[in-house]
Amino acid sequence: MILLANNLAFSLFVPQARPAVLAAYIGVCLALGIGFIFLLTAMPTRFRRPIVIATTFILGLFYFLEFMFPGRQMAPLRDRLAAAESGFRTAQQDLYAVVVQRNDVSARLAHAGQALNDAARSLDKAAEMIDRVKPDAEEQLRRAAEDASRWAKARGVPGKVLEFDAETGSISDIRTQTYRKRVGDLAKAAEGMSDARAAMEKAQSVSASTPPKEVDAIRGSLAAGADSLALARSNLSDNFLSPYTQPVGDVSVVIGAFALGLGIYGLAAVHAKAISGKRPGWLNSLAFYVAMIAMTLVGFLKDYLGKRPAQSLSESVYNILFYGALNALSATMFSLVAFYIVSAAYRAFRVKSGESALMMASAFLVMLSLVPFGVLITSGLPVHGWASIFRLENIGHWILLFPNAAAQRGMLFGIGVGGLAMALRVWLSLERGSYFDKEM
Amino acid sequence: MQHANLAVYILEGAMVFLILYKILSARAGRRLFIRRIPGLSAIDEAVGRATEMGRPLLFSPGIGGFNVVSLQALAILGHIISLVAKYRSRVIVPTIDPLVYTIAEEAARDAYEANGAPEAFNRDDILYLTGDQFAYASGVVGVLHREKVAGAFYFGDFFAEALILSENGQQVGAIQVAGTPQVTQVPFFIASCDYTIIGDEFYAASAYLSREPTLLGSLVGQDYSKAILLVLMVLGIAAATWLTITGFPSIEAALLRITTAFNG
Repeated sequence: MILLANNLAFSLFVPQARPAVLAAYIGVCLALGIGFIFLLTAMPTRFRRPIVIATTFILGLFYFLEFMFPGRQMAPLRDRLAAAESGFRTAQQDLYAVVVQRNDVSARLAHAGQALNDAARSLDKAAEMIDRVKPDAEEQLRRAAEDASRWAKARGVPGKVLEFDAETGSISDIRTQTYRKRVGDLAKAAEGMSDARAAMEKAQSVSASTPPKEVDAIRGSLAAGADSLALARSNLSDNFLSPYTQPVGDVSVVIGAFALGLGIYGLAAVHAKAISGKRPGWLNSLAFYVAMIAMTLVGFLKDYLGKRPAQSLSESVYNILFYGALNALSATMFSLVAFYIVSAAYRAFRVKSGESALMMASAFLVMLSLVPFGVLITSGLPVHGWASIFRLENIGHWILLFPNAAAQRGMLFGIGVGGLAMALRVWLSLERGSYFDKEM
Repeated sequence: MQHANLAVYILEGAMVFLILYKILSARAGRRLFIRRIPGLSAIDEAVGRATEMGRPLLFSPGIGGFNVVSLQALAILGHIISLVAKYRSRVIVPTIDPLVYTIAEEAARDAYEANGAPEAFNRDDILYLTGDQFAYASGVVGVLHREKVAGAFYFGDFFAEALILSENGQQVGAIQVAGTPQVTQVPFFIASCDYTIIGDEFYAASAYLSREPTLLGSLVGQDYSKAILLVLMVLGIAAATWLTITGFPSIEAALLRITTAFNG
């Protein structure tokens, strides 16, 4: 089915022709695209609005459904990885008893050992499943790549027009990309499992006499192992819509490309007016035209001249303009931030209210905790024990890790919910704004 | 590819239901209250000040592409332009993204027309400066100094250029209001702007400014959703604390199940 749709799309959108005809074809497509956008802009709102609403809803629905349905094909493998992950997290919690030296250390160690053994069994089964599935996926990838290449060669489609996989030397289509991703995900899952297994082996060697600090580090490795299993699991949940996220995403890239044209047109028009009217600073507008034409020219020439002497010249000019001029100017602008931080900090640290005094005090402590002098001030205090909390580096660390992180997460929760509400309003066309003219 | 799991179905389902329910009830005529946000009230003050001084305003929609954040920024721009049109003042909108530029131009034209001042719309005031972050920053700084703006608004996605823009705004004596969902940039704006909208106040801005029932309903729905999250957080903290103290295995098992469900 995918192959049929794919071939149909190729037949419609890629002509069986030589590069000159292909260039003409692309030109016609471009003209049609511009014509469509012009039509959409010129048509009365009462006709445009339903089109905008329907398009927004259908595209939103695609992404919604793609997100909501986890794929079933890899479900048994995901279940095994979930079981292993659960074992890792259980063991991680059990080992906490060793870190804080609780009374039930031996019971908790036994429980952790049991959980890790269960996790090991799940990992073994998952590894078997991967070994069983992977050759099939690789074979499917090989066949898909061959089909795509054969199909494209038979019609004389130049490789440069389509996505080209340099590794296999084959032309890539949706079907090929789907299988390539599956093979890659299986390899990543195997890699994640091997990391997790290494953490598990360390954890299995823990005994009641292992130093708490070492056990704490092992708990960290177990958490990282569990996270890599969770990641492998989420990668393996592609559903029937997942292969199409890339082509659907490409639609927005194409629309964006048209908009870029509009942006450049707007920019060119503003500067053309400035030059023709000899407005103050019109020489800057002239510089805009010179820079834009020069960069466009050398950018094209460096890629399309082939192996000629002029190509290397274009590349050199491009490198000078891009890396020597643009990047250097950007870096200069960025370096100004350091000076602005000082002036902003000066204003921010003037104590005008209770809140600003609190901010000033906490910022002062954090800054001191990050410089050697600050650490020196409280170096007389013990490193361990209750008094160690008054060491400046510990106070600074605590401010950053607890009140600061809590406030930032609070903001992120609000922003997340706000983003969800906004996305919902846009998707269902409930939002007001110029893109819908007025409230729906 | 990340996909939904049981926890997402439940949580997101509940939040979507609450937001839609509140939108529908607000549209049905139910009156809703939202608290005062000083930063947003300052927008009127800035526009009035610019009019008195005979100097323009500047609105930057940030350096993000065309996304939810930019749409929100453009909704705020629409309100500012309405005020500007009413007072016959002028606002300059430099953009970095061609799509945002196109929509900003459309938004500006509509807002002037809606306020009975289509002749006040000047296409040259909506600028597509460049696609590069620091080139954009230097472009905006140039506008701030050349035009000696009386007020500057920064709403949208901002990164390292945030401080460059707002410090230059300070230098020209502009009254500045900023709002961004980029948490790392909020301290810079707080340090250099007169008013800063933080966190989800950014998304509350259009509701606050326009008082449209749909937006107000959505805002109240958001607050209920946050209340759910708050309850879950408190319960999680309580359970984790109890677990640490007692080591009670059934709580531990329940917590583990929840953690695994949330992890995908």
